[in-house]
Amino acid sequence: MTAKKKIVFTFLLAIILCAALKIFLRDAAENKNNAERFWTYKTHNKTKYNIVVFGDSRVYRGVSPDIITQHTKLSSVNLGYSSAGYSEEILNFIDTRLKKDSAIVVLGITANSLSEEGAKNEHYFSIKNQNQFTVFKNLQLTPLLSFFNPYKISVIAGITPKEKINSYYYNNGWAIVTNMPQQTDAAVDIYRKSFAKNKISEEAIKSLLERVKKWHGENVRVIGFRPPTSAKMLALEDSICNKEYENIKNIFIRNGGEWLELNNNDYNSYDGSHLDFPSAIMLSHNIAAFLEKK
Amino acid sequence: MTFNSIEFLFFALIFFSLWPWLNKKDTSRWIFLTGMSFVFYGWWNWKFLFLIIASGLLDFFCGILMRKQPARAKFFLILSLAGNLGSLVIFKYNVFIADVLESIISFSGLSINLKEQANHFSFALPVGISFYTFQSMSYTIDVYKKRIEPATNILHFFSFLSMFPQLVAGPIVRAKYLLRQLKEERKSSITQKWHALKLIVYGLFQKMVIADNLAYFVDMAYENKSVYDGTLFWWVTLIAFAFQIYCDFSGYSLIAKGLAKYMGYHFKMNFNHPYLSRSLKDFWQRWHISLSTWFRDYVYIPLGGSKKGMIYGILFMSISLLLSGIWHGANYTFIAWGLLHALFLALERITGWPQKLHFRVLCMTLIFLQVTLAWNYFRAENIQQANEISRKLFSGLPTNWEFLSFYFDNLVFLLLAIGIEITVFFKLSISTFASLYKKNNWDIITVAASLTLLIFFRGEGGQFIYFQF
Repeated sequence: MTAKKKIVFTFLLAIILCAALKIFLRDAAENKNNAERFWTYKTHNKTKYNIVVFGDSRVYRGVSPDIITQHTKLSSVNLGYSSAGYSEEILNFIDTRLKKDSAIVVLGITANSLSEEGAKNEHYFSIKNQNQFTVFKNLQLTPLLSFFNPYKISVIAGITPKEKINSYYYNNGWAIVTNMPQQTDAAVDIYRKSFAKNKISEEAIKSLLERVKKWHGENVRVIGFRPPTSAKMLALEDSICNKEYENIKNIFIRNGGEWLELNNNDYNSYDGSHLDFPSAIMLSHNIAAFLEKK
Repeated sequence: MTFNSIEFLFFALIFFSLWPWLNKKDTSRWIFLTGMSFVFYGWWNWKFLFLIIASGLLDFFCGILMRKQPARAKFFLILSLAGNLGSLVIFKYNVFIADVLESIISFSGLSINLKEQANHFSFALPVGISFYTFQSMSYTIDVYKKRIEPATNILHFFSFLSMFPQLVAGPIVRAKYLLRQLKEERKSSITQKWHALKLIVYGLFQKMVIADNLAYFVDMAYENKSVYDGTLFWWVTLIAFAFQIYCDFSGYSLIAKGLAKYMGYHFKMNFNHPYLSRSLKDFWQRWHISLSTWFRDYVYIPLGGSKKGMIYGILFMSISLLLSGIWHGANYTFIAWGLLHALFLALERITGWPQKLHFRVLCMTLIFLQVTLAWNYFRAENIQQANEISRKLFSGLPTNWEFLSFYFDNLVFLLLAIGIEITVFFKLSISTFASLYKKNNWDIITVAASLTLLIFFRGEGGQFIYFQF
């Protein structure tokens, strides 16, 4: 067979195989829901909202803005990022996304978010510094390419239900990441190791508290809360910054902020840090109910 | 941009659309190839371009001056080597060297904080720096040794140095092969284009299907994010890493070779089924061939090779492997990896044990196990983790077999990778099998299947492992 014929037959055969997969296994494809698009949209979108929720991964996986909007009838967005922390740059970013009339900022405050490493906001900056082509690709091309979403062998074989392999990334900034391994305490060890080289940042704390005061002066309602987590993680965080935490809370309130107290025992974590789906829904309702009170 | 990205697809479409016209004349060919290669490289970070341009200019002019002033040829060679090795030290090894010096000084009872000081001066590691500096050094060494004539046209030289298929992760192409090829208009026939497409598809398959699917499982284990443990778990993890790194790197090399072939150029094979080796010596003739031959030709042989007897031969071989380890990264684990291979090779030289084993499959298995044990040190975060895992490999710790179903979607590709190597083994060993394969055009089926799999069964994805070098 000539090389030309081989090329033609190869592509024809590949098209047939791909078509067969799409026809006979239509529903088995992974619903990736465009994680890349999610982060690029969250960062590069310029829309302003009445309510901005911010924090690290416990917040972006733990708080649904839709539930908050349902209760408050105000537009809301979740601007959480992985290992996010409090710095002037990130607080300015939050500011740019706030509609100044009826503005509310909801801030999840963890030990990591007050740390030196957290304040670098590497995840946020990695998305912010994407070049124009990458932004275009993630926002415009990725949805078109969902036709080519990959399959998982275990789903085709019926070993794993499709729901278990899907992650859901919503335009409002909330992500349900279900395909993480379901381990109980893995995140605690990772957190402990990271804090061997990390420490609480006075500058981060100062930036946060001064911004609370500034927002209060601009009639922006500021709510702070400690994202619920596993008991082991809570104990670890207390050992890292318990004294600072109480001081921060007091100054936060003194500067015009409000504090949402949550009962950690009401929530479940799937990996020692992040809330499982039912707990994330519960947290979202609790935040929304708190916002409705005043 | 990586080969498995949308950006590269657009880049390749533009490049290969214009290539037939711009390839006709030398100047336009060199300008186009260099320019597009700079676009390719600068896509990561345009600041990286300064270093490769500076490195290239230094070596180009050193090459010319070696001819014009032969009495000072040695000086220009040293200047070139100092420039290339200096850039490696500054960008790649500064913190590690500071750490080593700090450790040495601390033995004397003094305390000095060099590592933290070095951290203040550390810069982003330019992608592929280890590859193009070695490629460039081989050029100046070959000019000095009068093995080749220096390039007289700077665009010709830069098209050799920066050629995008091999720029960031090899293969390290020798100047005497590529400079000559770049001097003429070369066209690929339809048969060559078919072979090129096969190489590219197989390379993408190795990277996107095998390597990327295995990466998740291996990373979870080595980053302590997995609850699983035990002897069997770690053996499976190590074997998975052995195939991950092989497929990741071999995949890149195949794509590079395929792209070059499509352009009309020939790159030598960089991986030749190394896990089918019958001895460790054989392994090093099949694994990362361009790098191992570089160390053979520019370190091992100049030191004396095996001409000065077995003991010196083992010493020079150990030095070459130690340097090879250091080339891979600024960490003690890479040094340990290199030295482990040196130890195994030394034992092989002294005892000649693989030749005494008559069962080929047994031989191959034992060599694979040796290589896999060494990979532990290559992958581990630090020596402590590597030692701990090594202990677990032989301690008979119980394993929760559930990990096989938990990581089913990843481990199924390990079986596929092993199955492919076994098939290749039969194809190479049994002539009937090989002729059946060729006669029935089975390559159409394998390429089509690879294409389908890389579209619909690709892994989570990640950077090519060797980009960090």
